[in-house]
Amino acid sequence: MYVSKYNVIVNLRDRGDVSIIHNLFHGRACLIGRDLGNALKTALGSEPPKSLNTHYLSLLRDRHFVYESREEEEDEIAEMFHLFQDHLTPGNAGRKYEILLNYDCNLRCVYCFQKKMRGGAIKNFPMTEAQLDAVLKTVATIEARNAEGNRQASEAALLSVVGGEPLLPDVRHRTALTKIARFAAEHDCRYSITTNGVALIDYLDLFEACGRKPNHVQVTVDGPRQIHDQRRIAIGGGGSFDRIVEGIEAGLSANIPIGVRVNVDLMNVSGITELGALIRSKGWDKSPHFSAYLAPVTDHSAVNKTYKWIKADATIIKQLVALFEKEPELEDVFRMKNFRGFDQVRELSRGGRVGPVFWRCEAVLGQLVFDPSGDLYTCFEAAGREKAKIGRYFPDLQIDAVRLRRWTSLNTFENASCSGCRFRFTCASGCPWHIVGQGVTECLPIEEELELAWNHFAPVFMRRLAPAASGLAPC
Amino acid sequence: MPRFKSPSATPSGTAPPTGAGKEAAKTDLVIDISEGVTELLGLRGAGTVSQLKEIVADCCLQACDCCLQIS
Repeated sequence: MYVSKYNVIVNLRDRGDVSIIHNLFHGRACLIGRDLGNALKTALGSEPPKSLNTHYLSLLRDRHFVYESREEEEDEIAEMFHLFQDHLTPGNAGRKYEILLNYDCNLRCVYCFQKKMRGGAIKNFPMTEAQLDAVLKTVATIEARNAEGNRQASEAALLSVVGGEPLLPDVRHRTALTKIARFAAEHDCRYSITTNGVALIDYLDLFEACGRKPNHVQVTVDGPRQIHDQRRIAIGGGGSFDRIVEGIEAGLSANIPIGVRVNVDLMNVSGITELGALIRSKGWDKSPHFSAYLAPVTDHSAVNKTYKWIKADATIIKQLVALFEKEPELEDVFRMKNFRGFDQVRELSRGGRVGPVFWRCEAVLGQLVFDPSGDLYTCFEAAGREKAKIGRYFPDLQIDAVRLRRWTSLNTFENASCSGCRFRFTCASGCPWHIVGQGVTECLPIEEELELAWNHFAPVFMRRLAPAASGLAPC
Repeated sequence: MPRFKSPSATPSGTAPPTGAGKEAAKTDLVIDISEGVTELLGLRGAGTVSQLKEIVADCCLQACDCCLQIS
């Protein structure tokens, strides 16, 4: 017999008699006695403890926490990977196309990952009309091929418009957005925009006139005004907060789905409470078109080495969980989807199910990113870097299969450098651009995150389990 | 994170073996919090192809962490 190495055992802080066993491959989670938990902790990846009686061994075996052998578990993992793989649309499985209209921006954010893309050797002009036509022609061709092969997923293809800043207030950008919105309408695609929000309000009339509003607009707000304006600074100085808030309000009034992203690091984590209060005071959180999430600031491009506020360990998540425990209403405002361990436990504690993450993101699923130099990438964050390029789309479409394979081989199952890691099906081998660009895997503090999360969500699942755990009083 | 709503994910307690008293129940419980996707293991009970596709899509087609929208 073999105890899965993917089991994580968490001792609940406020319950000395129980532990959680959570398998990070298949997502099963159970409440178990503390003695059993402690015994299993010492046996992960090896034989079960001799003291374990056959009854409990059988219960754990039925739940795939224990296997007949290591090989049996490995066979199951391989089988599930191939099952999933066989059901993906070949090529660009996510059917997502990113149109990087420019590398220019009207803000100079303190942690910008594209700062080296502006000026210098990189051309500071938006995608030309001829280039955009080539992009849309490529999308139409691929989608038509998918339709012929009846391989389309249920959702429509997505055109994601990004920059730099894609909503700059000039004719060339307005023309491009018009063309994209019309293409989406004619080809029944979805389209979304990732913007800093400064000129969002100026584009609402254009969306209306095109007869096709974006399916989603992401706007970044890093805190209340005094904090946001220190981080997301207008060219020449000055803040951006008021214009952005104006744009969000107008967008929501126009029934455009708006997602607020908050880039969190040590510089602004203390402002989350005030930002949450602002969102609630404006009633945005009550709008069906509004969502918000907290995302840690990262440096996968290694361009912010002197930026002192980034923490790659569990510091940020610890501070956020402490905030949530002090002010639980914040959890109703902000999602934590980028903190993968935390988000996973949130789902499990509510009775949802979570499976293994074999593909970290669209970049390893063959997404196409089109930039204004006529180059092709699979990763938006890596766009503009020679190392990341997979080909060109202008004047003709040319994809380098070897370069593409550097990305698509980075699934969790096949990535050899992570094969021994217990956390690989949660972090999914970390950021692919980190691996391609820096040659190393980015390891995340998943274990600490899980421990924090299981303790944080204990009242949620203990309430739900109360009838079954009749011998246990709720936390 | 890939997540799937599970209508059947109700907690199911398992009683300890005969002879175990309240104290044993406190220390030896195995109670399901979530079933995960164990029914897919070994492809047993994988459901219909469309259900499977839905699960696979949910699991695999995630938005990137770094910069983009909620999928």
